[in-house]
Amino acid sequence: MKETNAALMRLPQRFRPLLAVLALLSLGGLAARAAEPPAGTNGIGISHHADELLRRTSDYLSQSPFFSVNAEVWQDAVMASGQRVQATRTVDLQVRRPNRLRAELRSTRRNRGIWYDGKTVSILDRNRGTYGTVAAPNNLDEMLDSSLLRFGIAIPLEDLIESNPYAEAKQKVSSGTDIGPTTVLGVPCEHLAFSQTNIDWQIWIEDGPRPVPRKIVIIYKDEEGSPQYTALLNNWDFETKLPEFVFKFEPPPGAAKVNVMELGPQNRNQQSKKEE
Amino acid sequence: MTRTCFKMWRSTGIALLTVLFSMTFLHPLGAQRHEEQRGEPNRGAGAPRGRAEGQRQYVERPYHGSVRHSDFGVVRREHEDVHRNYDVDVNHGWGRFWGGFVTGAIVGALPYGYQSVNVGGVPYYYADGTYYQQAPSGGYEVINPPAGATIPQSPPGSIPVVVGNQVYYYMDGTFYVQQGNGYVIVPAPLGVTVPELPSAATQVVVNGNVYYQFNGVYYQPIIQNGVTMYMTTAPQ
Repeated sequence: MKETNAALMRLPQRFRPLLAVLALLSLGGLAARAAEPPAGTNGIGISHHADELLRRTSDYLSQSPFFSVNAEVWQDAVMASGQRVQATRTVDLQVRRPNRLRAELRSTRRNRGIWYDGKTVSILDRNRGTYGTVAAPNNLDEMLDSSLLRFGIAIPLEDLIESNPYAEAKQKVSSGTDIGPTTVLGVPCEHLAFSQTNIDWQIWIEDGPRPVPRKIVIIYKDEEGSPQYTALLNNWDFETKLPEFVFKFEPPPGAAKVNVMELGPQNRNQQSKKEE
Repeated sequence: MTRTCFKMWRSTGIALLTVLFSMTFLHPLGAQRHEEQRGEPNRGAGAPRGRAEGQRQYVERPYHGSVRHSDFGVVRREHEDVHRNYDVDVNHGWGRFWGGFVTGAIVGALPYGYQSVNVGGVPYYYADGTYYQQAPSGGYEVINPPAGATIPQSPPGSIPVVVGNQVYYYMDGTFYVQQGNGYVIVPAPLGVTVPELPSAATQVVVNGNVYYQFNGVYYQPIIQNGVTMYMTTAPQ
């Protein structure tokens, strides 16, 4: 300390303010560096490895002309008492690009089917004996938007269906990290974690030549209690062809045709605010 | 010597404080980045998260399970007990309390914990969502819920249904609204959508269309938000 003080004292007095300015500039520089994206990221806070894996998965799915997959979905729900519980359902999904889809959603409470044939979306509620059909655009992306934004029909696992999941995610993600290797139900996977304004989401991608998602978790961090959605994906099938009849809806005998309601003005206002 | 050293360290200290001050308060991007790194969402001006100043608000979206549409339908609601997450395979604990009462049934004694209710000078009795009237032949007869009856709490298992600024508490074909410290039965409003039919509703077909009818009210099945719901209506 004495030596340091002596060295400082040897500096001419007029250099001392300069020393203070240099110290300030150095610290400012450090602060600016801290604000920059970390090394190894793509400029918006996604690590290169996470970015590359997500792109590979997206390309693999979007370039597959057809596929089938089964999912077990776990979803947080709030009971009338306020207690949070997990609800579950299974989803059997069949997709044929560019404009065919079939989904079966089953639980002990509900049993529904969704058919999309490139012109219409039909939904059948087997437990309540009702079905409805609405006109739909001629490609999967527009159908996903139309079904939800006009009629409130959420197509399950739509992030696997859209034509470019990577581009969609990239628009919204603020950070992304490769958490590392792990297994999902015994299948070796790479675990990636991404963050957006209102949600955090994670994806577990199968190792090897077929980079399909094996698990997806979405955490809604802006909602009370940060409810979570989990999908475990299995039985990926890119080989079995999906003929036309798979996507053709035939109402079962006794089912009542009912109106599919368009979303009310309140929902439309919310959507238009989102688009602004 | 000591005094000069003090001045030197003071200059450096001031410089450090200046830098810290500017990093903390004059660098909004840095502050925002710091907030995001903590996992806090960027709320934007006037957009409360979960709680608003002075009044609590609850953030909710109708659907979970999509990154593509994660921003869709986000609502900020005032009522904790109103949930609009339609497409969830869970019973919410509503029907658990719906006794499925049978109008006209006679019981020998009122259930434990019953309450006396007076409507226009006529005495009724209430317990767990079911109303009774003294039967001429003795005992108590189960009756349809009488309009105007007021009970101190919303019935257990009732479903909050919001129409405009009015919250109805719907239970097994009966609509209540809060008035003062009580909940009063009101006539079923038309155009209201409920997730469950009254347990005693019967199917009727009017002009080829399927309806369900209970206590003079018709319920039309519709598909709303991808699930079957029932809208109170006048058949055409």
